[in-house]
Amino acid sequence: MIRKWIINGDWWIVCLCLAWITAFAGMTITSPALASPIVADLSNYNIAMDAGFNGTRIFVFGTRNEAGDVVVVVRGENKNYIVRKKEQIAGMWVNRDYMKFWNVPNFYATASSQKLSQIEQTVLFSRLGIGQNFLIRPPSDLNKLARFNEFEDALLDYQHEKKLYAASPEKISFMEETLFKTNIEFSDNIPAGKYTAEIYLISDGEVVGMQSTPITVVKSGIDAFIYNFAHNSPALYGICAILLALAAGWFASRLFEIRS
Amino acid sequence: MNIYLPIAEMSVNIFAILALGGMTGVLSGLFGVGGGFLMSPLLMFIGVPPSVAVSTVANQIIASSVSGFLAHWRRENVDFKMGFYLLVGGMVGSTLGVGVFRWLKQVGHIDLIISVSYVLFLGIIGAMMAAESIRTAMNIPKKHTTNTRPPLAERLPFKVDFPRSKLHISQIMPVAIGFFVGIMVSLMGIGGGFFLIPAMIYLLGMPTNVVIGTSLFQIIFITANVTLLQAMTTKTVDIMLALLLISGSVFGAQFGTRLGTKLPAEHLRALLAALVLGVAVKLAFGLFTAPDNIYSVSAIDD
Repeated sequence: MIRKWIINGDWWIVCLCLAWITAFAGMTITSPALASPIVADLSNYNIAMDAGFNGTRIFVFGTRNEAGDVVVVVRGENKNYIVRKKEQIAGMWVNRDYMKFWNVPNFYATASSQKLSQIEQTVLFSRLGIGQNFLIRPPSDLNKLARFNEFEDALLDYQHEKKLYAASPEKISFMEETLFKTNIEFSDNIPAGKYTAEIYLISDGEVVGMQSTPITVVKSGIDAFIYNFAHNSPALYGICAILLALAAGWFASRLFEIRS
Repeated sequence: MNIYLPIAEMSVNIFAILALGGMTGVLSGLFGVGGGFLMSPLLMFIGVPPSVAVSTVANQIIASSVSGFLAHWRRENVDFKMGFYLLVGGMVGSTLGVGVFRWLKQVGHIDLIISVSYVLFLGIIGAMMAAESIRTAMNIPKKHTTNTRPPLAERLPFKVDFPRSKLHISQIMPVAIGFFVGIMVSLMGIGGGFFLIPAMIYLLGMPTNVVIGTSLFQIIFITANVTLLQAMTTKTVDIMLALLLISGSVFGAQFGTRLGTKLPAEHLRALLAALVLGVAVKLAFGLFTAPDNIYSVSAIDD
């Protein structure tokens, strides 16, 4: 059969199979104590957003060499937000109360081998910021908790609505108890910046293995050029915008003048 | 077909934006208004951040105004002297307005102020124009109160001649109107034509045929000033979005100008009045009905 494959020109499949077998053999032969508890990789470390960018997904895959739950967390850069609440004044809806939130990621998505609530390691999750309920530190004063929760919920709702926070964690699927894979969705409006993908192996309330991989999200092509131009030389950009508009208006006018 | 907007940071349907631009262009050519008072709210409705919508529409209005202005210039329907006086006030007003815009944005009241300004000015102007249209339609003669007492523009000092408009009025008046319009341009993300045109007709007493060309002339400079200032301070001018809007609007403007020469002036005024009142009523409803979400979130810069 192998001979038939080779004859048909499918020799590379054989090579791939051999490489796999060798890799697995190597993994099992080397001492398990030396192997990392969790080894993971991403299908892509860079997301380039061009004019046709319509969202994308990154596959996260790897092996766990010890028992435990796998949790994947992808976060964007930390930003500061202000949440405002409207109240009715003389019949009109006007912004009144507000709360500011510091260092909140502008993107957040998770995947886990079982529901985070079932892993039940709230102290650990709170410390690591796993799960959307633990992204923002609540106030120490319990009297302020109700108001904090109200504004925190509004901020989370906003991020969900913009699809910058995933509504629910992705499932992680396993093959042979050790190989795992999942994917993280990125919507079309994700902000550019440095993201991180953290892959945890959690067992009995302890992190037994952790790996962190950066993901770079950049604007590419003409978009990146425009964005950088607007931010690096704003005065020149403004003048160009004006000249472009003037030229377009003049051109259209000439076009119609000739025709009529 | 979708296209990514680099400053607004979102994907939009290219044809929806082109259609929006075309619609604004028709309004621009037909009435001499920039059409921004429709464009800005519609862009916000499809999800473009308000600050980006306002700044980018200012950029787009430059193009539609230039193409409309050139069409009127060819027919010699522009009073450059009057335009210059309006411009002096307009430049100061728009620069001040961009500063006020930034401050209002920081304290979180910009959306409210934009809506209230729209409702007030569109409501008053729309009502005035509608009343005028109804009077013309029903053949009710104008009350001749103006004959006994000359208009304000003639009573103020520093009078000069405006040969093209056949007027001899105070310099203070056009500068003051320009200043006021300048503030509104930067605050509301509009060309200001919908306010400027009635002001030129009713407050300055300019002949209707030069009003549109003269208003477009000064709108070009005011919107250019706002575009530059917004690009430098808030960095919210999206060239990609502007180019799409422009592509639609320049063609629409030519079509509108032609349509305008065919329609009688009274019909034009009635049409514009209906449009202006419609937007005012829609926005007033928005102010008093409970919003879908009473919470709003914005990123804190710096």
